[in-house]
Amino acid sequence: MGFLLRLFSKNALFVFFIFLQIIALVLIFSKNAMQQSWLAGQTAAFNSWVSGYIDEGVSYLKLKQTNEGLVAQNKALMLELYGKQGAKNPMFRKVHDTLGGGQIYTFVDGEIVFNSINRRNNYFTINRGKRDGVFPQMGVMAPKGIAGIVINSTDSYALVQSVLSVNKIRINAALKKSGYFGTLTWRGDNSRVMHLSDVPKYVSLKIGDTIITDGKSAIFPKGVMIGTVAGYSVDNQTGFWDISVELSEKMGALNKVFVVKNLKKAEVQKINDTMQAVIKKEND
Amino acid sequence: MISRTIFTDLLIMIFLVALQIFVLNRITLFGKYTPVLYPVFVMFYPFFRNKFQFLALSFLIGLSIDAFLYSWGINALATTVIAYFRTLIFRTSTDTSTDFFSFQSLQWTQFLLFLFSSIFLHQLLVQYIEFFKFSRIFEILLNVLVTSVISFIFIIVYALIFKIKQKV
Repeated sequence: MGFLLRLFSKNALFVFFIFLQIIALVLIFSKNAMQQSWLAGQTAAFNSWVSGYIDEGVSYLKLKQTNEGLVAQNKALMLELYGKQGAKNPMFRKVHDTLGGGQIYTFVDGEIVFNSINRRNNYFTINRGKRDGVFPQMGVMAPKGIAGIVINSTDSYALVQSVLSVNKIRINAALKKSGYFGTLTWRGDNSRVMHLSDVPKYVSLKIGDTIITDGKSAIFPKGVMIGTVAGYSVDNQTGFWDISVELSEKMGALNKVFVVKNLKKAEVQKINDTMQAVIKKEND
Repeated sequence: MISRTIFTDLLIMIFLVALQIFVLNRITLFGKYTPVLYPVFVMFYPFFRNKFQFLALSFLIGLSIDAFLYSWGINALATTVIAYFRTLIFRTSTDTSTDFFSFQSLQWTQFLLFLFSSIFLHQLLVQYIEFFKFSRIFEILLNVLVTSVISFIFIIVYALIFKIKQKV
């Protein structure tokens, strides 16, 4: 205490000076727009610096779920690769590629930065864009199934039309067992269920049958998992099956996605265009 | 200037603030430079009076200028700084045991140097805090220099009119 008193009595003028300066500084930073915005900028920078670390920590905690998804996808890919024919001799299988050794599809991985599932037409945003080669009309897959189609992309982000869209999404899907295909749409009620129509009613069905993409649209590769049959009934108006498909991917919990790029798309487009021209000529 | 009390101090302050706000701030020389005169209150405050009162009054005159210019705290800070450094400068440069220090004992060059350095320091603080942009550092420095020179001339005129050099 004595030390403090001596300090004050010796430097009282300086203490008083500092006291006045503090008042002035408080006034400056609380009343002036320029300094306030600077202070706000500094605090925002500090805040984002701290929350960057928090986000990193949170994504570290989510590693387990992400890992499980990756393992499941790996398993599916392994099955695809080795599990079908030649189970005795799984390695070194020669691929007879009728396209002349060309790879058709390539993938870009991305993460979802914004997602919605509770509207009539749903969209999500991913952190890949033109810079990564993502352009409209590309398919988007999740580890366990299809997720949507890119409708717009900026330099580093892309907007994806979710498969959960009432009028905007029609996906060619097929029954894995019998190979019959139909059109997959969403009716806007349940985010886990889509409907497959246009399958003739003489096709035999069982609950639990697998639905996959049929690869005719050049957006998704053939054979990507979509979901399983959860129920079916005959549509009285059309006479086709109306099949409820339970999606294998939980659209509300999407995190990692893969954008599908079709390397032969331009070529396919070209040949389809000549077909259109031929049809037009025939009609004339 | 002969017998100054807190009452005369306040009167001088009111006079200087009114002069600054209602007359000088309406003058713009060369397009954008405004002379600053009110720090003469701090510079020419009589020596050997209560230093706490001196600091408090300096803060108050700065704050009243701020109140009119809506620049809360900026002028108050700058004015208090030059007031504090005036006490420092004259404590070190003169013999503190004598009670007879005044501007009369200074040479004119020393006197003018003191005036210019004070107003320059004042403007430096005011303008850098006011603009608060490091990207415009040279533009602001030029502004400070020109404003200081113009204000310096006004302060000399004030000192000559009131015969500060002879009286204080």
